[in-house]
Amino acid sequence: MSVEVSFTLNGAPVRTQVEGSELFADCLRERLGRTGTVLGCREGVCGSCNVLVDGEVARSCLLLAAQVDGCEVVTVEGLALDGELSRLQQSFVDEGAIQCGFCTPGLLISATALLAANPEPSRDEIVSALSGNLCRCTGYAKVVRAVEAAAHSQEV
Amino acid sequence: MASPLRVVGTRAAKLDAPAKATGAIRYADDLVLPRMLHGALTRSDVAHADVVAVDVDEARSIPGIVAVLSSADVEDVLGSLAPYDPACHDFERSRPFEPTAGDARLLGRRVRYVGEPIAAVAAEDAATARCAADLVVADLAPLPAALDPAAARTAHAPAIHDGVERNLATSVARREGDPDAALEAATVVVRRRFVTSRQKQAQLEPTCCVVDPDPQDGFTVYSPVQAPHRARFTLAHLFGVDASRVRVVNTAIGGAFGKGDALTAEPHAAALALVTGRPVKLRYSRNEDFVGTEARHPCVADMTGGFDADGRLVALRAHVTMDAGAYLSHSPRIAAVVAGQLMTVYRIPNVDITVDVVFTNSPVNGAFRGYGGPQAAFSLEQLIDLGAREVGVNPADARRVMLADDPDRTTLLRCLEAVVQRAPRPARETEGAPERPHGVGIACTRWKSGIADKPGAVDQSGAIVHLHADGTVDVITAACDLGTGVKTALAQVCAEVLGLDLGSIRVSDVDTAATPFDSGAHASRSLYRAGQAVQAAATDVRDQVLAYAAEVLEADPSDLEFADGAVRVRGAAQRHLGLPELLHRALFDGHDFHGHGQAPKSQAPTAAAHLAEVEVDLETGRVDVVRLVAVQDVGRAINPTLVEGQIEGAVHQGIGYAITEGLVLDRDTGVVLNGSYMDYRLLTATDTPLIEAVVLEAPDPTGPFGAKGVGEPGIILPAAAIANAIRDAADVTIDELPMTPERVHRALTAADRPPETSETRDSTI
Repeated sequence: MSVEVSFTLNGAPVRTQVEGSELFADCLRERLGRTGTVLGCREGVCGSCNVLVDGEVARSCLLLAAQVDGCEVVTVEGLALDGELSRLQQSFVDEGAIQCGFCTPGLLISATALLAANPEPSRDEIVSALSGNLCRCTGYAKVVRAVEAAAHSQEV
Repeated sequence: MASPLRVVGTRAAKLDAPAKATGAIRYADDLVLPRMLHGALTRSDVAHADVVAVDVDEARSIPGIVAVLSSADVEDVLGSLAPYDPACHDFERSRPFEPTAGDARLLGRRVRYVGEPIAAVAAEDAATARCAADLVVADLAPLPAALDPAAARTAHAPAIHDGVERNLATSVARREGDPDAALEAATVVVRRRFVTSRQKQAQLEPTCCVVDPDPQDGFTVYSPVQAPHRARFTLAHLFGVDASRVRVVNTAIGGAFGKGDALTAEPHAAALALVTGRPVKLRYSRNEDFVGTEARHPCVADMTGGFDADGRLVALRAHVTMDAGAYLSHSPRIAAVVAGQLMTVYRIPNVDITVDVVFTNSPVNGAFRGYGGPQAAFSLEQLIDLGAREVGVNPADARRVMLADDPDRTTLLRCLEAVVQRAPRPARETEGAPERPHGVGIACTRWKSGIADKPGAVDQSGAIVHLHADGTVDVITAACDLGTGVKTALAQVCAEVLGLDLGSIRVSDVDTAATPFDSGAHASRSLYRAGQAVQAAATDVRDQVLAYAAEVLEADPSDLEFADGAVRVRGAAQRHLGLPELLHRALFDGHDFHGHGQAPKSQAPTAAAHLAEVEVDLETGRVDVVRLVAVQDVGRAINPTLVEGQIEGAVHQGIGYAITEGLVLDRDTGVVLNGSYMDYRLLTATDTPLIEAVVLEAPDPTGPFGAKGVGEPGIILPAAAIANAIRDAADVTIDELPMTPERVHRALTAADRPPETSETRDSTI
């Protein structure tokens, strides 16, 4: 069963046919070639597949592609502007918050949403906002520091 | 030392960080090849059985299915397949590739654990492959199963591998001095059994690889393996092709920690690729990753320690039983590490150590960061604290006494002192509320950088440094970057030697067709060994350039130096040639500068000490780790940010090992009950305590700019330090991992628990 969906992806319009049972994560990765969003568990626990749907963090492995019809979606590929890393992305790079990088897109999405809603979060608020993202490499220390550093600069 | 370092020692950003921050990086599952198929595996649902028949008719009938291979027919289709060592140590055997009991088979006719593959299917898309794999019906004749080492060692236990009596896969014994007499004479004797768990790497990238068959012969493997050159040898032997026909290329590695130090999906993907003549991607589900890749060996250690009046451990008797799981893989080496760690961290004059490795009908255990170190530390460090308590000495003093008399231990002693200095002061102030007492515990260890001093083991790294006519450089190395940032550190080493900016250096992808042999990213060896090779190769290039420049500048090479992108005569700065000009000219003179370097046979011992501060809730048994201080000697931090990242990450995994992690297997069926992120409890950002990484630098003359191995000590100690802290807080010994609230609570309320307190309770440190 095939359905047509139209949505905005990183600021650009997309219109495509998707299967009824197709996960949005698979649609992004395989149909639309946006492999920046990755899959760590396919059961909504690890947060690696996080994307923004209408500004809210969503697990793309728990969303059907059909569900994003009419929505504004942002993925990790949409965080940089005109080839320049966002303040958060640059902060992750500078603070050593990226090791294997597999959890990074999901973390960036969570942190982007946090700073959009709360530009000056406390350390506890940062930790809480990231509590739905599993990371096995860093121990989170430099990730939290990177978000703090980005928050205390002017732009995101 | 001459001039100050410009690039080594700086917090350079990781070279691949921007690609990872933008999603541009490519992991195995991002790879798409023309006409690529998707694979899926059918796995056994019983722990021990012979495969009588496999019905693939229904699976084959699904549209989009291209091939189905099973235990019943794989050798008919592919010809005879050799048994193989998943750990890829088989070419290092005294007779290379000599078959050994405990080797694995590709879709063999007997399954030995729940989850062992019985069939492999290839289809046009992943969903179809999964559907077909689920429709394969195996006719299995169940065999009696031995699900744990105790069962496997009984006289009537089923033989899991032919010729292996009572499933004893191998045994390591170490004897020194006269332990019987020493125990007899000891002031205090402490006996305790310690039990550790199956910890899973649980790296975020699920196991995945793509195998592309060569139309002529052989195949290329795209995979995040940790030792591509070794994987190449084992895979070539498995399929009976020349190693030159097999190419292994690393994709970006989404975490490894030892999981990738064994073959996982590659053999089955290769089999499907060879049969179909098309590229095949085989991707494990998260549950398959939990069950079908190797985990940390659970150990039961019966320890008897004899102590003198100073708390010195004068005699150690240890009988350790390691659960290998169904196949041998890394077990023999890990057993040797367990024995070695028990003996060599402290100078124990009288030892009687036996480490038995036992086959069981359960998932295979193998390489996981620390490689036996955590299990040994959990037992030994607690034993020492128990002995210290009995004789009335504080834990730090007991260790000082043991470490003081041997000058080789000075780095370990420095780590210990550094950690003790950071203990909360005064101790009384950290006691906490009466129902939630605080405690402090310490633990320490020695470790090494690689295994070049291990007889019968290969520890090799080679590198090529290619300086191009435009002054940029390719560093060609098979050092795998697991996320550690080793490639960046290697670039820093090269840049330092050549007097170039980091931006001029590119480090190659790992490709067995193009990169010199490297024995793999494990044993905390990558930076140390590949760094030696890169430093040597870069020095070779520098010498070649200086020799050529000497001709051009009419000077002696020994009077020339590299500086600021030029070669100049020392002391006569006006006599210089910019590097681009020099190199361009060299090209016309027939010079293309590439240098080669090989790591020499060398070892660089390291050390670490941890201090854990915990709060124990007496009512619930919950342990909160308030703070963990990790002091580690790294020789020299080529890049302090990367080094801290390694320590912090390892400690974080060690804390998980201590309090929440462990695979749970059903006692009756051998099924893994918590093979998902939902039920296998990793620490989230909220759970993770403050980790203070303290980097100590005691340069080793053999290391690149003095650097030593970094990756593992951080995971070896947290469980030991936390257990010692729990005893300090609540007067209980938790001798089993993980130290969950239930376990702690049970220990707190046990009516017949052995007395933990000594008469006068000294201050902790």
